[in-house]
Amino acid sequence: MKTILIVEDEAAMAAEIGADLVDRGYHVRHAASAAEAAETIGEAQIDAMIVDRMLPGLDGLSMIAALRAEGNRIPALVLSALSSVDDRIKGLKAGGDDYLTKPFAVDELAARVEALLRRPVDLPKTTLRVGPLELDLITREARRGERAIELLPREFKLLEYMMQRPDLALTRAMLLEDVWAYRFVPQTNLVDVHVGKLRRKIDGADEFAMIKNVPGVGFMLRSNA
Amino acid sequence: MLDLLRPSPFRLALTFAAAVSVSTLVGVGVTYRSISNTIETRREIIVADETAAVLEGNRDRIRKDLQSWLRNGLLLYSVAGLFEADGTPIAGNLNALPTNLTLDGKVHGIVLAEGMITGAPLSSNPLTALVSGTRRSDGTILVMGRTLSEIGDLRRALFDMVLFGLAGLLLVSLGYGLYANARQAARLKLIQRTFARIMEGALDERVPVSRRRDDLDRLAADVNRMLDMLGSLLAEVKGVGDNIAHDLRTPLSIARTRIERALASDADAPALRSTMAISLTELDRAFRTISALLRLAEIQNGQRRAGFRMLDLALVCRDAVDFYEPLADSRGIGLTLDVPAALPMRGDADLLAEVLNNLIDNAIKFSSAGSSVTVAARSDAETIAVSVADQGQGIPAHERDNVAKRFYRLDKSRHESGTGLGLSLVFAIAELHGFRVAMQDGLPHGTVVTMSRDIR
Repeated sequence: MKTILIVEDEAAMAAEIGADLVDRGYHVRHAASAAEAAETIGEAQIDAMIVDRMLPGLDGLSMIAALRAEGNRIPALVLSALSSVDDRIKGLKAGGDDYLTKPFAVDELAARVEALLRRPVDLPKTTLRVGPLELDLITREARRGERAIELLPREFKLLEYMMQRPDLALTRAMLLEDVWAYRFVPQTNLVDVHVGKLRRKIDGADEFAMIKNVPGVGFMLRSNA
Repeated sequence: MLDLLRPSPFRLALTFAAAVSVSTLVGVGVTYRSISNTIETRREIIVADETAAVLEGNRDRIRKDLQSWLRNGLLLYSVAGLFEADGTPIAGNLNALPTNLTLDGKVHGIVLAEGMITGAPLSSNPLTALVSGTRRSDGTILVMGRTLSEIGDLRRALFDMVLFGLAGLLLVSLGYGLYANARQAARLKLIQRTFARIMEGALDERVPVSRRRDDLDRLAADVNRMLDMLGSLLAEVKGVGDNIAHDLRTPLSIARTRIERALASDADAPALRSTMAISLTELDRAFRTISALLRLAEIQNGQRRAGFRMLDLALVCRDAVDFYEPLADSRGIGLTLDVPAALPMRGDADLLAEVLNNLIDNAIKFSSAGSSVTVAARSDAETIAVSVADQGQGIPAHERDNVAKRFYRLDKSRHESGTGLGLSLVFAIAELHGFRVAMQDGLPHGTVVTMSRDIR
């Protein structure tokens, strides 16, 4: 069972997040300051961290930067009330792997933490395989079993992203940020439209639905029925 | 009183007076020196020549010569004397042999004491004179000379002139300096009083500007312009404040009312869940509005300019069209792209993407099936421009100015989702990049929104 460390000094917030993660089957540790967090990291196996930027004493970003300087690569998601682009960049530059602003939906947080825990393998691959789906990154061809699928460039990009994160809830925000590099919320829910179009191409009439809606969260590419 | 001495017109006048005084003194001094040197030199020569001419001759001859020498003095003061070897005067106007004269036949400058010259006015001061004294072969002593009295007169005259002249200059300068100071102080006081009133809240006041158009006036004009800007910003803030109050209160009060009613009623779990879900939606709406406002403020502050990089406007358009294509397709609207291969410019790609997204979204929203929306971009030698054209309902001319104001939504579209800040963001981002935004009628109907700027 994976262990997630929550570094947050606001007890109510930490309790909420912790409870949700426990529900999802994770082991949760809590630290109220950078010093406490350092202790916990020293004596337990931590698989991912959720770090609030504002902490008493040493702030969250400095803590992460210090860990990275020591060679510690625990995936870290930064929580902050500061939402400007500069703040986000600072958070990622300090060594954070993802950045979420408050207020956030708990589902969004969970989806991103899970994505951090199952980061795609960094080895360059020329072919991606998820269940019956196969994506050739060189020839830019997609097929499901024997059936060839025609994809537009943007659809290819979206499918590639989803195939790198199979069986993970992917929120609309994550897709917007990583597939389209858009950090604003478009007025209409276009992600749904794009995923819908992709689904029509991927999921044939008598094939099991690989692209699934995760209610209230986003979408998921299932590797099997 | 000392206050009057501090400001600069006084010091300026003082400095000026001092400079003039010094240069006058130097000039006068140099001139005096030069003139007196000339007189002395000339006089020396004359005395030497005359002495030489008169020296040889008998007593009678000398007496006559001396008389004519003294007469020739005219306005100049001549002195002459023939003395026995023991100093007894024989002829001339000197009562006694000057004791301070070296009797070597050369011309020396000596001081003749009072009363040494017969016939001289008693009031005359000791005179400097150029005198030569020679012992003749028969033992008598011949003394001849010319006084330098007019050099003294010249010196006195110059001294008087300089004294009175400079004193006058100094007085006038100081007087003018004090006067100018007092006037400037009065003007400054007036300006300071205006500032004080403005700071107390009378924001409509403006600093008085005279017709003189000097430095102080230009400064005052600049301050007034700043106050104008401040005035309009404050008015905008107030306007926004009113709008914010409304647009934030609405979702929050909806949530509040629902929760309150649910608490008061006998609602069962599903009803409570439904209430909570609706409240959550409304809270999210309020949060979105706040975020959008903060972003808008951030953009309008110009802080984002620091993150400007080179980008390709054509690519931004292409991506936006790509993004909206499925939606347009599903509504039967034709979305077309008309851009060159590349359009490099400096800016924030994320913000411009948002603008394009916003404009395309609006265009699609107001279009009906079968119509087309066109995204076009072009640049020539002087301008770079991007436009989004739809064939929809169009914006009535009288509404066009309002469209840019925050939170404004055309009456027709009030029911649509979104925070209403979309177009404000478009305008703010456009302004940040130096773009002008124009809205025109499309053909045969609809709207064309164009963002353009001159290439610097």
